Amino acid sequence: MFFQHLANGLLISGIYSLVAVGFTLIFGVLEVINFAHGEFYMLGAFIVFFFAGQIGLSYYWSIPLSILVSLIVGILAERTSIRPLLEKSFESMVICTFAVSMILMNGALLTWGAEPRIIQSPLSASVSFFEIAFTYQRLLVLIMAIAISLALHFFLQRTKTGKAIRATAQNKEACLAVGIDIARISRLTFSLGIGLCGLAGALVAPVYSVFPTMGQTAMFKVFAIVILGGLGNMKGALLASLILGLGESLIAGYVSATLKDGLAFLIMLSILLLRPAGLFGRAVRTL
Amino acid sequence: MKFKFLYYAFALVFFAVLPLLGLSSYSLHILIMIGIFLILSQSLNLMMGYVGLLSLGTSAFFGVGAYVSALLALNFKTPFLACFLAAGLSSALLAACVGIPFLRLSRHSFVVGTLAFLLICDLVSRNWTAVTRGPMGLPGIPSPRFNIPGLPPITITSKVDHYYFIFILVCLVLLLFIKLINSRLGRAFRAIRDDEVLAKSMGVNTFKYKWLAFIISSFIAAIAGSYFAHYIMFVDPLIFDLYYLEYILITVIVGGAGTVWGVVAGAFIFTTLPEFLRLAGGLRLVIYGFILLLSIHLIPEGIGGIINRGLKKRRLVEA
Repeated sequence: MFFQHLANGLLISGIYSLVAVGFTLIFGVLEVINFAHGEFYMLGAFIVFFFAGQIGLSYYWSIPLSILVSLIVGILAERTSIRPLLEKSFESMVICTFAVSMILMNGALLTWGAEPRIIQSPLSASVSFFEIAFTYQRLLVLIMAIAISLALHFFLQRTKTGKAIRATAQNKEACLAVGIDIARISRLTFSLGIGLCGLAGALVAPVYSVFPTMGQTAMFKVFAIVILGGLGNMKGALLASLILGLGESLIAGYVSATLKDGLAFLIMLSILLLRPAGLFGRAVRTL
Repeated sequence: MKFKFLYYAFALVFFAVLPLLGLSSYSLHILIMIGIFLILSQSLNLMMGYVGLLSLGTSAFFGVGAYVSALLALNFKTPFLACFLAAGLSSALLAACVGIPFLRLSRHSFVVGTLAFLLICDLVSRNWTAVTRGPMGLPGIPSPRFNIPGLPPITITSKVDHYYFIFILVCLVLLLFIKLINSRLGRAFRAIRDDEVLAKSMGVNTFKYKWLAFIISSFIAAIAGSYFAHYIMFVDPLIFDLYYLEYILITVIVGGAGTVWGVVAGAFIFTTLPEFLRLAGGLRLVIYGFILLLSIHLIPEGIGGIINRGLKKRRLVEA
């Protein structure tokens, strides 16, 4: 059973990391806390529900479509509401993303209603190896999450654009001095984060049920992750996702399923009280 | 300027005689809600408009105040005034404790931290069923009742009674609030908002003042919550819902953070507007989202800011 819980935990960690890494990247580069981040995850799931469940398209085609729609909505939100405020105060930007979150969540509530929706996946057959029983869908999520995390790591560490993204997060003035186009990097980072969210939503849609407040539930976990890993810290976010996902799965397996959500709460509380800069974090600059 | 006193007197008399004009109990209810959210919004206004910190925990203290007051009244039959003060003080104490780590965070992490605090309060109220009864909530909170020695006990039950109670409370809170922001303390707050490094270098103990502001703002939110619980006679975890946070954010932003009367106007607008917009809850919040978005882009200083600017211009012309 232990390996089963471990595998389930890995799956949850994968989803968390897809959402949290985008969140923390956007914070690093644009210096905005994107409260609407979870809504793009919700949107990704609902677009899959719309194409696969309501229109009757195949699930495979729905995934890229869902990423595309999330991206379009995300870029629209960024262009109209976040970009014009980049020069102004941090607080107004945060409130702006809050407003976008309000619009998206309640818009989904109006369009699809509050009841949880279930999507049939063509991959619902199950496979077992060693002691682990997994549906092919879960296997797909797991493989995709690992593959994308690795690809992202490669992209950020090795490619020129990836290095530019990390440089922008570290020091904007120096980037300007060496001729990095910060506006382009910001746009790219935002789209990357939103795209990862849309993909995460599309992947989990058949695993869990889809409902309008799922984005906020995910945001609660993302907050715990970035508090644990340190706001703006990429590796911290990955590690923290792993800790939270595995921890939740093990608690659900060995203690009780209702206590599972308590872990995020415990992490948040203890880190905020004891190590506000995050477990692995360099201290975030004050002032 | 010399007519300022007259404006205040006129407003006081107007709101004092308003219930005598034969308003329906529905309109009185809306006026009472305006009073409650006016006080709550000033709590956020103090942090956001005067200290310059976005504290998303404001509605958490509102809920904590409501729960403390309700639990004391239901379990220990505590008289209203004691509940009311206990709610304010216990919430202030809580703010004093969580304020120490929170205010050490950067401005960015402070936002995340205070929102996490709100989510934690929500989780506790849902899952600590032995005390809060979880999602079932706490029904049957008694109406406010005052036992003044030598006088028959006064129970506030009718809408008109409630109206006068909240009217007096709003006047008191606004009076003290204006006194506060014009005091030495208030000047320190604004110095921190305008330039924290400069304030620090001028010898302002910025941490101490931010901490004090956080405590005072929590006290204000909690007394609003306490009265809210005794007015609607019911508390449940939905009081920690993001809805209230969105509501006071929009009130403060559109009203004008850093202006007392702008936020008062915001409370009037955004408590009455949904009554006119009697739309489905979801659509209302979508519209609120758009209003919030547009207001940040078009009138970043809010209604109060625009009026203040106009007044300043007129004063310059007169001089």
